[in-house]
Amino acid sequence: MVVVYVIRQKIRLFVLVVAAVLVLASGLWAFPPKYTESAHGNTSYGVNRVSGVSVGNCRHCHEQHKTDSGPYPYALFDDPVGTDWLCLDCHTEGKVENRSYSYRAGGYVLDSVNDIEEMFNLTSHHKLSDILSFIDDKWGFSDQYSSPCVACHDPHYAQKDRKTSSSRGWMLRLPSKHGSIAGSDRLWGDESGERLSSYAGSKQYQAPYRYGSTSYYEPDGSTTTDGSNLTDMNTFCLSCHSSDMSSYGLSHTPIDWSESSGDKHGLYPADGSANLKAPYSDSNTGNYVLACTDCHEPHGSSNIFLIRKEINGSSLTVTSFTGRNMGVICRKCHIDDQAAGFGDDRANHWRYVHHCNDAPFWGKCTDCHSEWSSGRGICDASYNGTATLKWDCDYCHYHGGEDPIRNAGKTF
Amino acid sequence: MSGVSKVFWGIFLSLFISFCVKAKVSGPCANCHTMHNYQGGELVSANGTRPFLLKDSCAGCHTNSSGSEVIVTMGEVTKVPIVNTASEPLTSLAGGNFYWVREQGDRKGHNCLSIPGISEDQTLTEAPGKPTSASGTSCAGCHDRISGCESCHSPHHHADDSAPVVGEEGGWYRFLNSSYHGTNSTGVKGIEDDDWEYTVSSSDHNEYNGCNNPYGNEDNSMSNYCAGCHQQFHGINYTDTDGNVVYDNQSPWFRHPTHLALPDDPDKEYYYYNNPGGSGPGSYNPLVPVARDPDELSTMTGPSSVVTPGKDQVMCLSCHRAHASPYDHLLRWDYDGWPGNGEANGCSVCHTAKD
Repeated sequence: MVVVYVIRQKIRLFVLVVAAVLVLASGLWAFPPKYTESAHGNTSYGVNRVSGVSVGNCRHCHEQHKTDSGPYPYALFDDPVGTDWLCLDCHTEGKVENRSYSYRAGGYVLDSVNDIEEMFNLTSHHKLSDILSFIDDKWGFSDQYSSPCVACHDPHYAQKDRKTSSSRGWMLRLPSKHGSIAGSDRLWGDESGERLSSYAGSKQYQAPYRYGSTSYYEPDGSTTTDGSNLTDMNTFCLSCHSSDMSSYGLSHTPIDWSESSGDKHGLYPADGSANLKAPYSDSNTGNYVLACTDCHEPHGSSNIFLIRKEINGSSLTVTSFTGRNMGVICRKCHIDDQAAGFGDDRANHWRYVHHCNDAPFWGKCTDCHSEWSSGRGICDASYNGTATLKWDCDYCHYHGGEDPIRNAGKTF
Repeated sequence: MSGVSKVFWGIFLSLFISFCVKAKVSGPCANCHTMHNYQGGELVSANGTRPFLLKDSCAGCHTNSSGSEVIVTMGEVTKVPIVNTASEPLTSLAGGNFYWVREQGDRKGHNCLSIPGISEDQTLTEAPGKPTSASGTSCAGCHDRISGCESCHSPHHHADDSAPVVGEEGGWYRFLNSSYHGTNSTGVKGIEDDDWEYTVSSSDHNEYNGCNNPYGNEDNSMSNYCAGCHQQFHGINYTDTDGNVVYDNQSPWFRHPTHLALPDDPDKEYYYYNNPGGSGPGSYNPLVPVARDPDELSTMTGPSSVVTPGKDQVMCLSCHRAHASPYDHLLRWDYDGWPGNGEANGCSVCHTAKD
């Protein structure tokens, strides 16, 4: 009898465990994100504008009967649109400290930028008025009432994310889920199916190194490398950037990151071979997919095109794409002549990649060069002369780029 | 007990209970009135005679000058609701208790100057949100300072308030009509709880008249009665930069909506009133009461625990108590202390996705 009882108990426990797994696997989210778990609702570091009121209280943002000025949409204390940009009333110098993605995810603590408003005034940045214009009449937003910040962040649920393995939070919400009260729609990235590892599918996401390290990885300084700790930024960013945004000065949109027709840095399989820097592996060329935030800041950067100040473990400065300037980005993950030990080992020179192992252009020199010294093989390491280039890097390499010279396929 | 006896006792008890708890006073006239202000060799009212031969003022009868009890008995059966206690009440009646504004400051309640111990508000010089039309000197007694109870209440203690819904015939719900310029459309209609919500539950509470017209100021509704002094707290016609006029009966709200129905939309958090995470609205929560659609209220015979989105409305008293409360802004819960206080937030009864 005792044996039968024990077996029954074990069966019961097994059934309970299986049931629990099925419930979780079914996507039911029994404990949806709460306001009091958000960065704004936290009782110690939450919103705190009005004295004498609990930190995290609604009143710091909403004034139910405002009569002294305004009133403003959603009973907010200031105008969420126009020149006021309510969110920046607090997310400004000396009030709320926010750091760049390079600082938090990349561990680049040398980045002195420390507030959101400052980020939106850097060399390149998401232009709030453009965001507002783009989301107008989409997903329930209005350029009359909506804060452009809310396109990406739901102020009632966005969580603080220190991006250390012991202090994570999820701060984004898909713009298409704006206004939904469903628990699973309140944040993006908080569920396992909303991570880069899930986006990669059969492909591989490889987390870049953190600044100065070859042992720890973005975004949280842990040893996790498969993107299971990174919000699926690609799906998120493509909510908007899969559209034609040329009217906003983004001539290389829509961004296509798809497996069937997209960029090689996305899900589309890279062709040929590549010479990569660690932690990326040549043997896995063609199987990688990158996250948008591997290269781009979300708010702004002192580099152009919101290029991060730190990529794959080291810093960079890029203020134009003329000449070979764009190469300072590429060389964070691709080997240049210096990394290849090719020729005279010049940094940000790309003879090896373009003429040797990964050379796509075995052809006429005049396709790319206006002048050169003759009598040398195309992959001659002893050649240290100068061959004047006809084109800047971005003649071929840009989002959506295709080989404009030989029609040899994708170039980005 | 025979069937006839059951009917007899049933009728008797119904009449007795009604006799005890309705606002219409009963009992000896001398409970409230004095013919000569002189009884047993002493003045009845040391401060002199009063209108209607009354022995005391409103505050005099509705104050408990020695304790914290909020219902006292006058004579043998007449229950008197107390709105001003000597010491802090353990529970307040639906309208709150002036104890808190008297003892804890202006932010706790209405500064009704006829209540002993209450002085003028040190911050506000007029009703916040005061109607622009209420600017004359004759308006000041209510719209700048609340000179007395009759700013809001027009006593009709002898009116027949036996109907389920108390309106004009019953002297208005809780006598809510100004003594100074009340009309038959400014008075408030409602169902009066037997013990002023001393005991209260989802099925034991007052019922308040809602509004058919969010712009009306005179529709016998609770919220628009409050708007008589606080008109600009709610409702604007806002012209956006595209030139579109945005009315105050739709999102986005510029001030917290009032006298408008909870949306009958399962995709909105308000649909799940008092039932966050549930599949439909919960039961009436007397901490955050709703007003009833006027057409619905007129057919009601007593309080209901059912809340119906699309009909039942948020109103001023959904958040505030009329007289005073332990909390700033006369709120019904410790709003300013939340979330630090770890208590439930009354806001989340409607804002069910913002807990």
